[in-house]
Amino acid sequence: MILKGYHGTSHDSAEKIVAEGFKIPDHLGWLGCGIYFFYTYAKIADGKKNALFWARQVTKTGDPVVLSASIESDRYIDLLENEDHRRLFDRVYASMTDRQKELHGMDAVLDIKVAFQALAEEEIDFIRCPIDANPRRAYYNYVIRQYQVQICVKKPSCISSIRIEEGASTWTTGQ
Amino acid sequence: MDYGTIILEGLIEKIQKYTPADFDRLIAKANSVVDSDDTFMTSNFSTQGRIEYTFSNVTHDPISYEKLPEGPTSMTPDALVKISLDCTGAGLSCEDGAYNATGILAA
Repeated sequence: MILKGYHGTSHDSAEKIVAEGFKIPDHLGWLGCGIYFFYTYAKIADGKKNALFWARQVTKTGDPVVLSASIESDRYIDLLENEDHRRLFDRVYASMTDRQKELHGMDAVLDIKVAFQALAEEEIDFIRCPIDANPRRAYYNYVIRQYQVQICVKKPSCISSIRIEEGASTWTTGQ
Repeated sequence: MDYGTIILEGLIEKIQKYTPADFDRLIAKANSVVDSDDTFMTSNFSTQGRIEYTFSNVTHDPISYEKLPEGPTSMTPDALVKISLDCTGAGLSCEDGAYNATGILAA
């Protein structure tokens, strides 16, 4: 599978990434440890705008830049379009919940992040997953407020064709 | 059968043999995750049914104001507030806990 992803960062970091390539960061994200990209999906997820939003609003970057890159591998988990992967990931979560109950003899809320950390320990190159990036906007209740598709790349060697998307500073994020 | 399917089916098998140490390791990792929309709040989960929320930088983060409309305006910048909710047997979900924590903080 070959995907195009967008990564939001600062101007200085972008130039370093273009020159030296991506490196796996120390901190963990929702889908585990890896390099995070946003993916454009139909009309509901704009990867470029999501990356810019990330750079501006989350990392508070004053000089946001959006990088695009090609991500290629056949060793992936796709929770966006692969029905088998979605069904099996549901079973991963259910199995963890059942096993935890066996060990502790009680029902306990198991954060989905725990299941993703388990998945991250497996030999995979990337995970693609639809995300509700703003799940606590209470007045939206069951409506997805901020749809995103994120790609967590665990093997930098899968990433190629890194380039700076021009004109990011003039875009609106619409979020 | 594709590679991802094989990995997921293998993981389901592994989980049947998970020990408490495996859960401790994975939960510790999950607790260290920085939420992209929660620069002001992190939550810790444990197998004991306790959820701990940590609020930080609530007075100068616009996202915080949006989520805590009745927020603690008297708090000083960079203040940290930790609230532990014992959810054992209370039937609370994580989201319920978040709203309760917000209410406590606002009060």
